[in-house]
Amino acid sequence: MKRGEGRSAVEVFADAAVHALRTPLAAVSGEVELALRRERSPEAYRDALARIGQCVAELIDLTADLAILGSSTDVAGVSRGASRLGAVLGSIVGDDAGAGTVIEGGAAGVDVDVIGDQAFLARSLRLLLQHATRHVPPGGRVTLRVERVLHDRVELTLTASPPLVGQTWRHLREDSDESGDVNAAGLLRLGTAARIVEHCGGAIRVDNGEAAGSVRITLRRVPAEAHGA
Amino acid sequence: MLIVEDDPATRDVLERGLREELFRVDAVADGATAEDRAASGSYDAVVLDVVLPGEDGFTVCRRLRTRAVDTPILLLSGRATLQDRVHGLDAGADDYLAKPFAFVELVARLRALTRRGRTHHLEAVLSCGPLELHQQDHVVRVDGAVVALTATEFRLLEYLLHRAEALVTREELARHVWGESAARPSNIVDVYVSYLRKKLGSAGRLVRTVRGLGYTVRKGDVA
Repeated sequence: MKRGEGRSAVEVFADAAVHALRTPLAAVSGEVELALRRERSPEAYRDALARIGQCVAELIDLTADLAILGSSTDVAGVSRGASRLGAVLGSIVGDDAGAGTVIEGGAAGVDVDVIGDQAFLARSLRLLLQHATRHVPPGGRVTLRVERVLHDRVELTLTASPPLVGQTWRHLREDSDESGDVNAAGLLRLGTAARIVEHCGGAIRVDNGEAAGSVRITLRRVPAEAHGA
Repeated sequence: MLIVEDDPATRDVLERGLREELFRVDAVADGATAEDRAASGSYDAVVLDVVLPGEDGFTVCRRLRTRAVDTPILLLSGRATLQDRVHGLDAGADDYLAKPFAFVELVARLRALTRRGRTHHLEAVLSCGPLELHQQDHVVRVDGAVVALTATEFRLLEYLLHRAEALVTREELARHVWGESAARPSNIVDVYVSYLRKKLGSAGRLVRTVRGLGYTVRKGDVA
């Protein structure tokens, strides 16, 4: 692992994992403590259980992310199979992608097959969108656009309005140093997104040009001969 | 109470839990909004998450102290190393609690912080007309003459003077003076205000009743 060479890779990874797990654990323990503090109606207990269930689902996702980030090989099988890009984008439309998120170019990706499991590719894009929506000010907008469809790859661009500073994406840079960085959760989120795409033969890069802080995601297309097979 | 927490599930449970304790709660999700809200100084305490979008909690805390906001701040964080805790306290926080936490401990710490109040940041003397309250010496004077108050009466007057010009509800007074929110019947506040007025003599009229709501001390009432 190149990221975080300021500390050992194990330290950075463990720190990110501990921090990321503690927040949903705090929500779960808080819900349990509140539910048990006094007698409540059956509906109130059901609501509490539903909220606990959401937190547990988040913990399950996090442990899956940790498994992906914790191994340089594709142990989770994220690169297995092919996915229709339109289906990947369709699965993250709506509330799932976060408020203020716009996904454009779905039509351009409808008939394009890319390498990778649909659920994992969607997870990667969702993590990027979540990271962006978390950093845009209230009323801001995050756009994920299919920029170009080439013979061997598809390029998507994630931008924000107002633009996000490049620092927002520092954890995508190979040379970033997380020593003393309080945002270990960002490292986990972006590291996992990048690792999924890399396993599928693609890449995620931060654009330092005029659109500072935008992110380019390259997904590898399924070779033409594979279609014919 | 101001809660600053970007994780919706944790923010929600904090809001509900603290409201059940009868704290009045506002909640925000980012550092810039938190700084704007907390800068008013109108909160009894701020529960501040460290990892936030934009400015992190350490920075927000430091900036608030630079702006002379003396509201007690409890940092809440998934980071719990000695270095993190020292960093947070050096940034101006009054307390530091690691996630996951026992809710009952959070509430106890907040009660302690709000009881302790802002005395370490405040001027030593609060005054209103002929009335002077010396916080460090625990002495109250009316026209220069010392008035003997019990500890409870002193805390009651101290809070009213600290919030001079504002309406202070009975519930707020009960929470600050007795350190608990729900169990204390509100008429005990009225009883103690009555004791206080009698002991303050002519200055007792400065503590005005706002019918059905609570009390206020107004400097404009000094004749």
